[in-house]
Formats: sequence, structure tokens, C-alpha cells
Amino acid sequence: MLVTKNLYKVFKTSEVETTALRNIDLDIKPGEFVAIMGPSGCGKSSLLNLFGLLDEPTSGNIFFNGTEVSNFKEKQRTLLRKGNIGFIFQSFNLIEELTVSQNVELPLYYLGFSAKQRKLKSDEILEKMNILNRKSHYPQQLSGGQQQRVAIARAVVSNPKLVLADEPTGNLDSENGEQVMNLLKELNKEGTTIIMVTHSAEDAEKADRIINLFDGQVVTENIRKAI
Amino acid sequence: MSHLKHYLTTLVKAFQRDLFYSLINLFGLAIGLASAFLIFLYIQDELNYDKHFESCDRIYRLEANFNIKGKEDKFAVTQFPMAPTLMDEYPEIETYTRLFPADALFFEKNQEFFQEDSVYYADSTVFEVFSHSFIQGDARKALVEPNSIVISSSMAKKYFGKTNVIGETLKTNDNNLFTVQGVFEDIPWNTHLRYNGLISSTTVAMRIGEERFNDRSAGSFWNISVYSFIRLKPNTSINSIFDKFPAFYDKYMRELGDQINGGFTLMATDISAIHYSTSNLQYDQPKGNKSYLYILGFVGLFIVIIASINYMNLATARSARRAREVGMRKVSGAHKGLLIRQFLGESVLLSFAAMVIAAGIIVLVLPLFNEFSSKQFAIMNLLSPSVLLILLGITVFVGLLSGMYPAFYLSSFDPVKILKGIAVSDKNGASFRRFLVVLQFSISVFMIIGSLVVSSQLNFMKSKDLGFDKEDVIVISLRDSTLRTNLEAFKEELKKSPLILAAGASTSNPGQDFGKNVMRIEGADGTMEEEALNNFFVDYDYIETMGFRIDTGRVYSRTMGTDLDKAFIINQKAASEFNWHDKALGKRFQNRLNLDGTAAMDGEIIGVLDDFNYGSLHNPIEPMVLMLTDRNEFFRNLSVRIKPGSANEAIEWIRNTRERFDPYFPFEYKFLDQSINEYYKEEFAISKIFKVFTILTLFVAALGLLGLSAFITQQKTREIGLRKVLGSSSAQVVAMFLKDFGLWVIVANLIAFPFAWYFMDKWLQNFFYKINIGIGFFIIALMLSLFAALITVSWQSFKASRLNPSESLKYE
Repeated sequence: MLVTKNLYKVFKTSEVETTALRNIDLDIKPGEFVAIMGPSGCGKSSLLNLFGLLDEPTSGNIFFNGTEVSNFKEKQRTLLRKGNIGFIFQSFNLIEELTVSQNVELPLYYLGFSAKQRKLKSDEILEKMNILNRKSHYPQQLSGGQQQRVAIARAVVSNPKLVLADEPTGNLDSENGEQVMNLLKELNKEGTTIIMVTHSAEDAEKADRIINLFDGQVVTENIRKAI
Repeated sequence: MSHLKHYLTTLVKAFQRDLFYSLINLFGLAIGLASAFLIFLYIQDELNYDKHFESCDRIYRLEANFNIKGKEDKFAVTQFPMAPTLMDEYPEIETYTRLFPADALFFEKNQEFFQEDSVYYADSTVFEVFSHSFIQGDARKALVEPNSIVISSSMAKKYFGKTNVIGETLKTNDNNLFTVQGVFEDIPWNTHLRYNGLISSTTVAMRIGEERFNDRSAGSFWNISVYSFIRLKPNTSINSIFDKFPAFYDKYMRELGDQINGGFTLMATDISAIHYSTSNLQYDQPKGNKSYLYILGFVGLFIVIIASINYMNLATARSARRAREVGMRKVSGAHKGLLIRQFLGESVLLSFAAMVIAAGIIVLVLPLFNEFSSKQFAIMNLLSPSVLLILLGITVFVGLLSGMYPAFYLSSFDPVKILKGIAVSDKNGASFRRFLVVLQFSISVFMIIGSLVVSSQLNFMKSKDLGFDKEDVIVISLRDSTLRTNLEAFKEELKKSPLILAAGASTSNPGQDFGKNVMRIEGADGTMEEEALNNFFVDYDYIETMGFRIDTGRVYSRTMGTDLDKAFIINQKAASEFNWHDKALGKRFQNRLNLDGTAAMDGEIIGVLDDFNYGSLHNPIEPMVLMLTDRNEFFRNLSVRIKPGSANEAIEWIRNTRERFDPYFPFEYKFLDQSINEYYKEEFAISKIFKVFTILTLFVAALGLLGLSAFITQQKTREIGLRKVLGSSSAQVVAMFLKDFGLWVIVANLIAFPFAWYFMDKWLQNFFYKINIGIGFFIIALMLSLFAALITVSWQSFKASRLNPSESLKYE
């Protein structure tokens, strides 16, 4: 699904040069549930951004389903992201001016679905996330757990093959956190590849494989379950 | 003082922190202030016409209203004996003076003659009526002796290079010598009757004889000739003279009046009101149109409002950034009033900074402004205390106007919430800003439509078929007798060049004044009826030269031999007005009437011309008579039709030919279409002003939008990133912003349309011949405003849309 070779990411400001990722070689198989762990500043989020084609590597290669994408242009990356990759963020990142339904429909809108189809699909996924009754509400009117469920609905509404989750439970209490993890597990069972950055060992336990990063390098890979 | 210093520091810091927005504010305000100030100067100048004369409220211009057979003819000039006779009759009059143009006078300097348009003959009392400051000479004695002249300092400099020229002489083209008896400071430009030189009226008395000069016989009261001014004694009213005037009429005018079936009413206008009087008088000086002042006033106000809105928008948009400062100040004991004062102080200070830039702009553009407003403002004019005070006033006003809303908005923040870190809700602020932007664009759209309509109407008037071909006609003025006596030979000589197609002489021309005479026309039952009619005299070639089209009959012809004094040509309008319609040919017609029913010119209609516009397109065509004369001394113009596209060579040819006939007299000419366009001088000026300020308005509005869109995109950076993560392309992000702003601009257009239509339709009512306000104007305005808005907005949003989502998501 996702293969990286000798991946480097260097951030430059006018004064300092920070190497966020060095020499990352990873191979993520379709249908895998991978957790990425490590201390703050170890490069977890940078790696996730590269996986999500939100950023370009300084050097090295990324293969998405066999296609080299690291030198893709902005337009090509957008095209590839659309419908293929879903994102879940720690801070939910719902658009405040839009209702729950509108937020969820957004990826479908960019994929060119008709209004009718969008409504149908978003209702279906909101139902699944058990939050359909709040579909006309605005994000500020929801609790954190509810917002994250909406964010997950938005991430998966277009049936992406890959879902990237950046500390999805980081802003949630344990009860809501568990709910979110269960939803992710369920998606994974249905065949979605999930890569999740997390601080929580408990959450990581739910993954098939845990990748530990330290100072921009992969230190250990625990394969918890054979595929 | 330390307070001020403290706030100054805060202001400078806030300015630096948001340099981009602050510069937008500063320049927007500077442009607004400069515009408002220039417009103010213009309006002030216009409203103070003639007010610089001492006791101007007691000075009146006498005007004449003749009533012949129920038709009124009003004149800005009066009978020669009117003013002195009134003075003798009515003790209310303190003094009087009369002025009449010394036309066709050329003054010599180093053997070359220069034409002076603004030299008048004047009674010696002219300086009693109109206060002047004399540089040289004694105002009371200067114009007493014949052949005396008093000149302005600029005329003195022109002919002598200095102003101490008492006793020097000026020689004219007719070999008269005038002795300079005084030099006065140039009269301000905002004077309705502005002269550079005055010649003693006793000069005329000497030439024509005292008796004729002082003639008060019945006939002299039925003849108009001079501008007459009276000054009333304090605490008297012009109305008391009007009230007593019937007795005056009985005494001096009735006997002859009854014979010619006429009547007369005296009128008068306070001199400071002449420039904007709406009465339509013949021989009046060029006047102003007050409605244009209102328009300009509004335009000035609009620009100031738009610039102030920029300030309000950007100040409130950035308010979140200053929320913490407000919170801290409040917690530290600042009450709301103090904060309001602080923020108002900031806006006023910024306004003053803008004023400094505005002053620079004004100095830079003043020559340009003078050019298109036909004014003569000098930098020195700007430094008078009253003007500076106004500049100060406008600056404080703009500062307060723009600071008012932000001050109340910012100072009302709840400190507890702010310091707890709860984001300040900007809901109300955001919708108010939207409203303001819509307002700005409504004003801009209004201005766009306005200037489009004005310039289309002008184009329409310039290109309208007037019923003759006004292009390629050079009009030579015939002021010198040498040329007039040799007119036929001169015409023949001119036509020897292939560049000259035709030449014809006339007493008047389209674009010039026409005389009105009482004539007699054949009525329904064959009896003769009196009519006051516009008319002018032409030679055999004039009608053909101008290209007037014949409806029925023929034009004047040398071969007929009977046309002189016996043949008349009228326009269609006259034929229909007299109920002759298509049976006009052969109708009897008389001019230069005698009281016994006979006439010096007595004959019939030989031709009817298609109607042609000889006057301004403000007014409908009136009946017109073109009469033939062979008395060349009457002619004022020789119209020469030249080969199209050969203006320069043709003028050279005419100049050379003319020099052979009369080498001493200066060659004066005008293009016919240019003199006709003189009618619309004011409209042209207002159109230029309108265009410039429309562009400025749109520019300042776009500047504001630039700032606001920059702010909004900045605010939405995270959302943009998020949308891109969810599959949006950069183009879609830009489109989202454009849609949003575009919608506001469309709303602004819809608001502006009815207002623009209403006011421009009203303006067009000034013209008899006018364009329709088509949908095209609105479409262009919509396109232009959308274009301006979209260019501005897309620049900002494009920048934001190009950011890598990983960057924008970090943005908080």
C-alpha cells in the first residue's frame, strides 16, 4: 500500500536546520492497522504528513500502491488524495461555519458527487457513527467525542483505502477515546488501512504493528499480529 | 503629555505590527482627504463668486425683460440711459456704473498686436461700485478723462513688463492711444465679469458726441446695449425700485411701447447670485450649474466615507489582536470612556498622518486639478488661514468618522472573557464589515454608472447629426474692415487651393449668439403678424458651405438677382410654428419694420431648410430665419470648409492668403465643432472630474477590499488547508473566496442600480436631446466592479491556496 525508501525531511528556518525524519524505510501492507509512537518532536506528525501527501520529502521515495508520488505536483497530489486518503486530527478540524452534514459531505463535494448522493452517503455514515441526530448542528454545539465521530465520518465517507489519524483520542476523555478506537478498529476490519499516530500505549495495543520513532528514526517495529 | 506619549507609542507599535493594513489605511485616508479637500476648494471657489467685492450684497446687475406681443425676451444687458436715469429718479441708489465690451481691440507691443478679450469701456464710477486695490493711480480720477485706460497688473506686465506704468500709452490697431491712469491687482478668477482693462466711457462720449452719449429719448430706452450695475444705499431694498418702476415706465417708455405693441419690466440680480442664477438671459456671461456642485459635494463625501470604511473594517477585523490589550487596560482600571478616547485618538492621529501625505498629493496634483476643473488655484491659496482651518476640520472629521465604530466596538470587549482566553466572538463585527463593503461598492457602482452616463451623453452630443456637417469647417473671425471690404476677392483667393472646398460669410454661426428681431409674417387670413424670431445674415455661399439640407424651395442665388431684401429662408420648425407646414414657399415675410406697416426687407419665403441644431442640445430647435445681405461690414465670421484631414495645411494656406490681404491684423480662427462643443464645456469638465473620482473611489474601495480579503484569508488559512486535505484543489479554494466576495459585490450592484438610474435620469432631463439609460451601463458597472473585486480578492486567496496544507494546518 505505502512504501518509503530512505526518506528524509529537513525543516529550514533562517537560523536553524532541523532534520525531522532520517532514513525512513517502511512498508505498509493493505489492510494493516499501524500505530506510530514516540516522544514529542520525534517526527511522528511529519511522517504522517508525508504519508498523506500534505508535504514533500526533502529526499527519498514514497510509493503509493506502487506509484512513486514523492515528486508529485500539487495538483497530482490533490487528485491522489481525493477519495484515496482520509484524515482524522487530534483537534478534529471541523469547519465551524458548516453543519455536521456539510462537513461530512465536503470530500464528496470535491469528488463531484451530486447533492442527493452526498446526502445519502453522509446520512449513512453518520448513522454508522451514531450521530445522525446531530446532523444539522454546528461543531461548536457538540462535545469533543461527538466532534471526533463527525471527523471520522468525514474521513471515511468517501471509502478511502487509507485513513491517517493524528492522535485521534488526544483531546478526548477515556470513554469517548475508547469509542473512537472501536470505530477505527471496525473500519480496519472492513478492509481500510489505518495509520495512526498516538501517545497512548492502550490505543496502540489495538494496532497490528507499532512503529517507534526516536529523533526522526525508526527504532523498533513490533509486529503484534501476523497478516 | 506623558499620556499622549504613551498612546503614541501604542499607536506606532500597532502600526508596525500590521504594517500592510496600516499602510492601506494610511493611503486610503490620504487619497480620501486629498480628494475631499480639492473638491472643497472647488466648491468654495464656486460659491464665492463676486463675493470679494465690498458690500457685494448691495450691488445689483440690472436686467431687461422685453415683452413683444406676449413673447418675453430677457437680457443681461440693459438700455444705455437706464442706470443714470434710475439714479436720478430713485434716492435708494447710491451709485451706478456701466460696462460694455471693447470688442475687436488689439493692443500693440513691439509692433505686434495682441487681442484682448476682456477689455471694457466703463463709467468712471466703476471703482465706486466694484472695490479694487490699486497698485498705481487714483481710482476716483483714473477713468474720468477720455482715452484713459486702467489695466490689471498682469496686463501691465504683459505690455510693459512692470506695474509702475502710469502715464505710459497703449496703442490699438485702430490707431488710438490710451494713457494708463491706473493699475489694479488682478481680479480673482471667480468673478462673473472679469476684466483686464477698462477704458473710460468718456472716450465713447468724445467719439459719438456728448449729446448722443447722454441721450434719454424714447428710442434710447428701446435699445439694449450695456451691462449696468447699481449699488444701493444701506438698508434699502431692490424691491422698492421694482415697486416704483411702473411710474418710470409710464414716464420714459410707454408712448413708444404702445406703438410697437411692447412692454418692459426691469429685473436685477444681486451680483453674488449671478453665477448660479437660473434665469436664462441673453448676452449673459458663462454661468455655473449648482446641481454640479451638489454632485461634487457628494462625490467628495463618498470618497471620504469609503476611505473611512476601510479604516473601520481593518480596525475591527484586527480587533481580536488587540483584545488582550483592551482586557489588560480594563482590568488595570481603564473605564470604557477612556478606551473610546484612546481609540478615537488613534484614528485622529492616523488621520493627521494621512493629512501630511494628502498635502503632498494635493501639491503634486494641483496643476492637473486646475487643468480639468478650469480653475487657477495656487499653492499660496492653500495657505490662507480659512483654508487651513477647513483642512484641519476635514482631517478631524475623517478621524472621528473612521474611529467611531472601532472605538465603541473595541472598548466593549468583556475583559474577563478575554483574559480567560475565550476567543472574542466576531459575529456582529463580521456582518457589519460585510455591510460596509457592500456600501463601499454600492457607492463605487453608482459612480461608475454616473460617469458612464455622463460621458455617453457627451459623446452623443459630440457625434449627433446636427443637420449639417460641423466637421472640417474653420471659422475665421472677420474683425478687420480691410478683409471685410475685400471679402469676395479673399474668398476667391482662398478657393484657389484644392484644400478649400467652400467659403461663406455670416453674422453668426452655430455655437454663437443669435439676434432676435421682431418681424412680420403672413398669418392665416393674409394679414401680417408680428413675431420675435432668431435670425442671422448670410452671404450667397454660406448655406452650401455649411451643408444645411434643403427641405423645399431653393437657397439664395446670385443668378436670381432678386434675393436681396426680398427673399427669406426659414427652418422647418418656423414653418410648422407659423402653421404653414409644407405650404411655406411664397408666404410674405417682413424684417426691419417701420411703424407704418412697411419694412425695409419685404418679400417671400423662397426656401425651407431641414431643422438643424444651431444652439445647445440642452434645448429644442427654435424657429430660425436666415437672411441674405451684401453688406459685408455686418459679417462676423467666414466659415471655410476644408478637405477632410488637411487641417494643418489648410490653416497655413488661409493664414498666408490672409496676410496678403491684411498683414497687420492678427489671424484668428476656430474649428466649428470646437465652438459648438463650448456649449458643453461645463459638462466636459464635470465628466472629467467624475471619471477621475470614480477611478479613485473604486481604487480606495479595492484597497479596502484588499486589506479585508487579506485578513479573511489569513483567518481562514487553517480552513483552506483542511479543505485541501479533504480533496479541494487550489482553484476551488480561490473560487470559494471569489464566490463569497462576488456575491457581496453583486448585492452592492443591485442596491446601487435604482439610485443610479434615478439620479442619472434626472440629470439627463437637463438635455432636450439625450441618450436612454440602457441596460448596458448596468452590465458594464457590474462587470467592472466584479472585476476590481475579484482581482483584489484572488491575489490574496491565490497566495493562501498555494500553501502546503501541512503549513496551513499548523496555523492557529
